[in-house]
Amino acid sequence: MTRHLALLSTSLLCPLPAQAEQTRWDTFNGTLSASKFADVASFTPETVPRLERAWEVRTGDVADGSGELPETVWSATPIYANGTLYLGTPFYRIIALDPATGEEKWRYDSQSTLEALTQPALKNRGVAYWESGATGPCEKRVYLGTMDATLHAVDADTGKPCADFGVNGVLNVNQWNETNAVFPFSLLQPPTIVGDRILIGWSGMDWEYTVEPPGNLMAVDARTGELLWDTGFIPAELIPRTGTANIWSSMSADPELGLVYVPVSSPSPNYWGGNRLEGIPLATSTTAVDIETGAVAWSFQHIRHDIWDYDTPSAPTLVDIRRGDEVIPALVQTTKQGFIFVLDRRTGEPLFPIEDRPVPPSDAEGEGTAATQPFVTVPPPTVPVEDLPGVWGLSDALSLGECSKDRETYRYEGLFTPPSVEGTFLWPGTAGANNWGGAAVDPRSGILYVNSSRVVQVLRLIPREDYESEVHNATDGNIEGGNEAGFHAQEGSPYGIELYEWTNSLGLPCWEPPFGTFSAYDLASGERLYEVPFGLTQRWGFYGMRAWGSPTLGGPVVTAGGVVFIGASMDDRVRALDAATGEELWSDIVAAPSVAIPAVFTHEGVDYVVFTAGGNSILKPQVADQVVAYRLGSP
Amino acid sequence: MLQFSALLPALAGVGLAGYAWITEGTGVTGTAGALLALIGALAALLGLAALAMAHPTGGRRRLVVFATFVAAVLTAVAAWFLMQDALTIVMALVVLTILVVAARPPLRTAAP
Repeated sequence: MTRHLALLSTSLLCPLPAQAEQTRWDTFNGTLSASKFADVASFTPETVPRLERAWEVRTGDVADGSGELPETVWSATPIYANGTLYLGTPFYRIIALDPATGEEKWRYDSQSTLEALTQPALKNRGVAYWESGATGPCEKRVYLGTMDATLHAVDADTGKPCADFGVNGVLNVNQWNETNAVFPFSLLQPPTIVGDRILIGWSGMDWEYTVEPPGNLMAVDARTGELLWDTGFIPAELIPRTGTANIWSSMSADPELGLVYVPVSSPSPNYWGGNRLEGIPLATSTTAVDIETGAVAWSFQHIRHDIWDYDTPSAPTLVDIRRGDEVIPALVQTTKQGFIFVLDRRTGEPLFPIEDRPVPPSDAEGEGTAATQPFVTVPPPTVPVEDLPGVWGLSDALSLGECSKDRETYRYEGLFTPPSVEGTFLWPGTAGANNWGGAAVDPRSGILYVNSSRVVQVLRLIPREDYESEVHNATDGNIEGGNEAGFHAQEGSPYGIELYEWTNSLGLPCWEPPFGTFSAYDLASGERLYEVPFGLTQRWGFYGMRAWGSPTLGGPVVTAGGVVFIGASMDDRVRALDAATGEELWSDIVAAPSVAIPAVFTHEGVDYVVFTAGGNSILKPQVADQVVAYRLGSP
Repeated sequence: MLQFSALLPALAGVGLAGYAWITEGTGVTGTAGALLALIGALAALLGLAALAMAHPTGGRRRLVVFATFVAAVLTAVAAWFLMQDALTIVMALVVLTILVVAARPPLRTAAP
């Protein structure tokens, strides 16, 4: 009943504007608020079945890892600005397209090395856009980061380098990588630009070493690349012993408050913290940083002493929440552990009660877990974290009880069960209940939309003296696998690790479905309005049942017309959902999972939704280089 | 003549399975599942062709009918899980065709 009232109030109180249009979609999350709300009215539940392909482009920048090049992973949001669609590619090129036809306007090649320096794949999440307001060359710019730590600035009209930025248009960001520099500052996520400041985070390899570069946020001048300030997230006295707490994901900002909101990741190494027992207050947090000075305004830590790699994975979504007569500037942080933190974005104070609950201790050498961790019950978590999902009867039967045996073998004492030598269930898995796609919110109604994954992994600490031999003897081929699976050394700690999905020997998940869902929440009350299985699993081409859903990567966009656009699922489909119910209204097959956030915008009076289909091996081993634009066909 | 017309759904099955495996945008392009469906459809076609042209009798006939039936049923099930609706329908038709063929007495070559 409440659900229907909430949805009814949306339609009654927020009539659709007659001529709504989205004139820009110029950040990774569409706008700096990361609301992923597109003010277009033509896409409605009634019209989207008429969506048709306007054009399709193949960038050519793709590799499946079978040749000389590493595999590509592409999660770029297309940027719509300056009447043009801009894309970054995993070969570190910028492509400018005509939004109406897909015709290429220009292409810029960074000439970056195509080596997987810090990641198991060549990764890119797109480009950033800036304009000064003046006219002339390089008064509008597109910025592209590379894995080898350079930031390129090119003229948005021509693709020519902007010579006044860095050295001939290239800024060496690694010049500021001065401490524990065991890897370069990989710029895989496009920077966030607020005013004339480019805010830069970076990616590394926090699964590989104990002592690594300490995470920081850098602000550089958009015109020159001059470093304006640099804010670190690890206390100085701990830097000789640890590292990361970096920002590998996107950020949001409130220019009126003068704050940028940064999702800070966990410290290194990922799964053992005996080197950092003092605690790192800014790690695994949402932290508000003053855009002018770089000073930390406030910080909210989601996990104390993170030893689960539960990095804060996405830009917090900014929205004003109405409570009675009061309008509260809020932010919503979805997390890998499945909690939705709703905070006052002026102060970081929680807007719903958060419980501190005792969590299990560790028996690992030198480890010391936090006694309690914050638990959020309102809004309810995006996945049921109160207990491990049950053993899936089908998978258990087909494997003659293999899954049940596992359930009794590995350690699980609730969320935040520490890693162990005997093996610990990691639930949700390290790729998270929610990841870089984050959530979308309709600012008119305060309803939040989010896709979630339900994946259980097994994490095993391997004593240092056994690690090399175990890796050597491994026959399952998962010695390498990035931070989501495989063996990792955690050099400098007493343990290496092995991480893998909890499957039976046939490769079927041992935990019961659904494997992925789509949900809506009323942020005023904290109530979940609905939760439905989302997407389809796929293996060897065969699809799972609809009720099983699919793990997802990538995020949703909600439109003024009451439609949610989302790719994200394993099954190579992009979809339009009814925002009121989560029901699928339309879908199309693309070349690989669309693990990005779509762009929704109005160009020359026509509304478009554009998806990139790049794939990601976390979902399945399928990659592509496809960009597909849709618009409404004739009634 | 009737036996040869019975090959048409199986031929269509091979065509649709091949299309699903080769053509981009089917959702199963190049997958092992689509290849399996193609092999299954081919097996059903060959089985029906054997029944139509070689006219096996007795135990051999029963074996060919059974193998063809299993291939067609499994291909139809595979097509269902591959979300290839047209192929599912066609392979269901092939199954029905096999049942009809199996119910008819085998053709015998006239004595000289």
